[in-house]
Amino acid sequence: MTDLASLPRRIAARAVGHALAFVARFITAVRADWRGIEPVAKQRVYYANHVSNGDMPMIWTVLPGHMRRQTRPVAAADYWLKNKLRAFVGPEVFNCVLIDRRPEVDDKPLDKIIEALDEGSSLIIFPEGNRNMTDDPLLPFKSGLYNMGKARPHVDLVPTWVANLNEIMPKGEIIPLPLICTVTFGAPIHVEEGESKDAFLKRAADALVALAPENRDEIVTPERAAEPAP
Amino acid sequence: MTPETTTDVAILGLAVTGILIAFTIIGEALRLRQPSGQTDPVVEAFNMRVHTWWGLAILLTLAVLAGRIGILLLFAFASFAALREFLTFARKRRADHLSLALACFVILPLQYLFVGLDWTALFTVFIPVYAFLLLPIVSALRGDATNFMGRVAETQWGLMICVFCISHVPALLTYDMPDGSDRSILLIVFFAMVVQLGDVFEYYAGRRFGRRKIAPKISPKTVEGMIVGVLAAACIGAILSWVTPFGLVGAAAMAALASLTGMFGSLVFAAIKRDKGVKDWSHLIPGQGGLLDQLDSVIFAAPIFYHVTQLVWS
Repeated sequence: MTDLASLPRRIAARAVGHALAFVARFITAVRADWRGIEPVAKQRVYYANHVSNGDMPMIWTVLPGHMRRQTRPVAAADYWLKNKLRAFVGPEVFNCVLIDRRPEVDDKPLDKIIEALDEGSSLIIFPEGNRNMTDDPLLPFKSGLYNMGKARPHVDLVPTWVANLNEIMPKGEIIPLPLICTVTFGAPIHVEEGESKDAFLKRAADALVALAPENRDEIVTPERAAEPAP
Repeated sequence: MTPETTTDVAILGLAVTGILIAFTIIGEALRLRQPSGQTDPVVEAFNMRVHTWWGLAILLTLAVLAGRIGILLLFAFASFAALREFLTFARKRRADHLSLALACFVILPLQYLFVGLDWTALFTVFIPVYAFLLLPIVSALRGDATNFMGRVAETQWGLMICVFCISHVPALLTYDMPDGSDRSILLIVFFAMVVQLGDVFEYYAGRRFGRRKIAPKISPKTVEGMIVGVLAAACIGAILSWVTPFGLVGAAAMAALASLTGMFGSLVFAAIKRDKGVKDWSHLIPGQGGLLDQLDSVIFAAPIFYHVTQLVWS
C-alpha cells in the first residue's frame, strides 16, 4: 500500500530529475569523457573534486539512465534537509545517502555508506569533505574513501574530475554561467594490500588531479598548441 | 508566407535533399573503394560532415517552414551555444560573473527581440555601443583590476562574434524585397548554401591541389583552394539567383563576397584556436567539434552580406 500511495511522488521525482538534467545540459552542454572506464552498470564509487553545489548534478546528468538508477550520491543531511524542497530533491530525486555532519550526533557515516554498498548501489562521494575555495586543485582528502575501499575492496574507486564548475557556479553566485562542462572518468583504483592510509589517499588524489585539463591561463607556446583545424 | 514563397521553399528543400543524397552516395562509394577492413580518415571525415549537413538542413528547413519565429529561435539558440563555447575559453575572473551572466541571459535575448521587432536602428548599435559600455562598468564595480583589459575585451569580442554577427542572419528577414514579397526568408537559405558549399569546395580543392598556404602557421588553407571555393560559390549563387533580387551577375558576386569573407572568418578563428591552444571549441556536433567550428565562416560573412544587400539592393 505504501508503494501505491507514493507512486505520484516517485513519478514527480523522476520528472524533476529529467528536468534538472535538461537544465544542466542546456547551461553547460555537459559531456562525459569515459577515459578509464566503460559506461556500464558496474558497482563503483565515483570520487570527485568539489568546488560547487553543481558538481553532483553534473555527474548525475552524464550517467546513462541504467547507471543513474543504481548510483546514490553521498551528501550532507544538514544541507538537504534544510527545507521541504531540498528534502524532496536530495533524498527522492537524487536518492542521496544522507550523512549527518553534526559532531554531537553519534552516527557513524561509514556504516550508512557500507550499508548502501552492500545493497549493490554505486556511490558518488566528494572526499575533500567541503567545497574547495582555494587555488589548489584539491583539498586534503578525508579518510572516508580509504575506509570504504578497505572495507569493501572489490568495489572500483573511480576518480571523476568535474571541470569548469568553479567558473560556472562559484560559491555565493545564484545565476549559473553557460560554459562547457566536462566530466572525466579515470581508471579505477583499489586499496592495495598493506597500503597505509596516507599513501592511498595521496595516490587517489594524484589519480584525480591527473584528469584535470591543463590550466588555460598559461601562455601556450606554438610548439604546444594543438594541430591546426581544417 | 504566400503560396509562391512556400513553393520556392519546397523546391529549395528538394534541391538540398538532392545534393545531400548525392554527397551521401559519393561518401559511401568512396568508403566501398577502400580495401575491406581499412578506413581512410579523409573519407570518414567527409561522411561525418555529410551527416551533420543532413541535421543542419533539416533544422533550417523546419525553421524556415515555421517562419519568422522559427528562424529567430534557431539562430538565438545558435548564438547561445556559440557564446557558451567562446566564453569557456575566454579570460574571465569571479568579478566578471555578473557581466557574463548579463551577456548571456539579457543582452542575447534582447538582441534577438530587437531583430524580431525590426528595430534596425537599435539592433545594429545595441551590442557595439550599449553592451560595450555597460559590461565593463559591471565588471569594474566588483573592484578586481587583474587583467581587466583582456577580460572585458574578450567578453566584448565574444558578444560581437556570437550574438551580433550571428543575429545578422535572421536580420535578413527585415530586408524589404524590391518587389514587396515576403521572400527575404529565402535569402537566408541562399546565404547559408553558398557559404557552406564554398567551404566544402575550398577544403577539398585545397587538399587535392593546394600548394601555396596563405598563413602556414595558422591554417592549412591554400590560395588555390580559396580560389576554387569562391568560384564554386559564385556558380552556385548564379544557379540560385532566382530566389534573390540580385539578378544573375549580382547573385554570383554576392555569393563570391559571402564565401570570401567566410573563408577569412575561419582563418581568424583558426588563429584564435591556436592562441588558446584548443583544437575544437566543444564536442557538441559529433566528429566535427563545436558549433563555432561549424559556423565560423557564416559568422564573418553574415554582417557583410546583410549590409551590402541593404546598401546596394534596397
